[in-house]
Amino acid sequence: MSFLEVDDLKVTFTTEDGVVRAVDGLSFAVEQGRTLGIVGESGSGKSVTSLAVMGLHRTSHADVTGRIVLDGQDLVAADPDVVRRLRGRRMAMIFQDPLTSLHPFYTVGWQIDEAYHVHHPKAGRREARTRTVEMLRRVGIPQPDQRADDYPHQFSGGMRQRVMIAMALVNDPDLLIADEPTTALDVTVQAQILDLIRDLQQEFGSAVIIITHDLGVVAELADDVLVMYAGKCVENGPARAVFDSPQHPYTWGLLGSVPRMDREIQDRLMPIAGAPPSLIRLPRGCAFHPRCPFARLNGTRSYEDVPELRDTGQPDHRVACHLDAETRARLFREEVAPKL
Amino acid sequence: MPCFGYSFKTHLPVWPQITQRLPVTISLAVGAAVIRLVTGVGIGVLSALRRGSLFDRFSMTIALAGVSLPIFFTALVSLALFSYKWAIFPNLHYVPLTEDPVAWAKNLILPWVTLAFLYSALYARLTRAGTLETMGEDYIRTARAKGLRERRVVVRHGLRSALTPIVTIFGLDVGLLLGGAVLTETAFSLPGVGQYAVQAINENDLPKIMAVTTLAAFFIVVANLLVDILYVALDPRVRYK
Repeated sequence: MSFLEVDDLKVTFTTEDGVVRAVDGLSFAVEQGRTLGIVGESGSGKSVTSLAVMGLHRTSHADVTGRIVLDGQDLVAADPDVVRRLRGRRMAMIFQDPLTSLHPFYTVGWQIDEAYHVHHPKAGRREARTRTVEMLRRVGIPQPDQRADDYPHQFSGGMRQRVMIAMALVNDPDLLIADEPTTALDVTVQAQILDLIRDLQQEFGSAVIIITHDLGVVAELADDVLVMYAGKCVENGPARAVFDSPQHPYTWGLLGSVPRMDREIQDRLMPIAGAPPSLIRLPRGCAFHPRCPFARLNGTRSYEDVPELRDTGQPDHRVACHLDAETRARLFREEVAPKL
Repeated sequence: MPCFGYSFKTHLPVWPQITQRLPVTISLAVGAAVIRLVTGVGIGVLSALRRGSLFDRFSMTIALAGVSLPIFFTALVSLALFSYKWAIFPNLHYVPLTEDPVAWAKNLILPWVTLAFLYSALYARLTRAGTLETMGEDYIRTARAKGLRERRVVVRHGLRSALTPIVTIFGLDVGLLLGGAVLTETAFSLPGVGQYAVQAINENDLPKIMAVTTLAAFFIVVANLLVDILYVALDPRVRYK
């Protein structure tokens, strides 16, 4: 059994307009020491998945079913207080916007102390402070013993994200979830933060889930990739396999939307046509079919059946697409790959 | 010593009369301010913690009544009930703090509570709204992600941010009250600055009116200044150079 196993996870929100199926039958697993990259457009259910794993969805009246098993313990059925005790200790999270994710009225040292104290109630003030300064040093904040007494607004964006990482790692969590950790940062700082996350993972040996819409980030960090569309997994597998022979037309679209610096100048990027579907009224059949350039090859099947995840023939690589393997291989070779 | 001249009516100097009445007004203002802050913020936080609960709906209904009822109504009702009908605080009269602290407090409880009731309702609503608004902030999610108990999340992280506007209003309120709680002092016949102002206006005694108005303006300006200074302690992002 893997360290974290998510099985048939469904997260729905009941709103006045109808039921929002934010996550609809998602399954994945992460081993310790491995990094899973979850990729998808805005509204594909990436962040909701991570909040559900952390048990942070409870405040938003979400309805969660399925199983989230962390080290043998099911978190969906567990008492909220049990999940609270795991939060910050065994699983920790880094958020998208470091500018708003730290409390403006407390020093960063106080905030990290608090994160340590809550799971080490017997620790003295001095012990917590020593640990805080040590963590700030490890994430690369110069003069950590002095900077611990500074307020968040006295740090730059990249430094604040380092503080967030220090806070997340202060209790040596076994699972670290990073939700778009570099989206709000400058490009040069992005690379530093990604390096930092990778180095710390190697040092701590924790399982990491990195959520992003940036395939560059995934290529940089992830061992495995899970591509999400409209709350479902459409493709998942080892990062090498997904990048070298992507199987799903949506993955092709994502890859085609990334500007490449290492190629001849292309005419233009290939965006995915249309917009993500409403999660209240999903398209029938394959949710991607209205935007899929190849949907007509399947006749009426695209809007009648929901495609199941199937093995692609490569180890651990699965895809949810009605096209048969031969057609996909031909399409990718002839129509998609030349334009990437 | 500021010179506000002599009363048209009695030809006595105005300032000594005011300084003599000031302790009454300060007693009333400070007592009422403390009560309204404590009860208002307390009820507001509890309501925010249990949003939608019976306690929340009940206290917010009371708060709405409190905001809506004028003080000359609540003051007279409370006098009729607690001072006459049930005689819990009979024969109200002001006793200086220096003379007998217990009698001082006992005689002021009714005016304090009456004056506080109105405003604690305002504070409760303000605290509740402010806390709930802050609870949607990203740093609250961070606090929850640390594994903090919900109570600590609300009080240490949510309320802490909601406190700044409350302190602003509190400072201005105290300044306003120190200039004389005209209606309350009149209703409870407390010999304070507010009652003095009412007399002065009735008698068209201009020097008295001038003195009270200047004093009220002085307190409001000082309260404003104190609030601005207090911001530095409350919000680390505020620095004056």
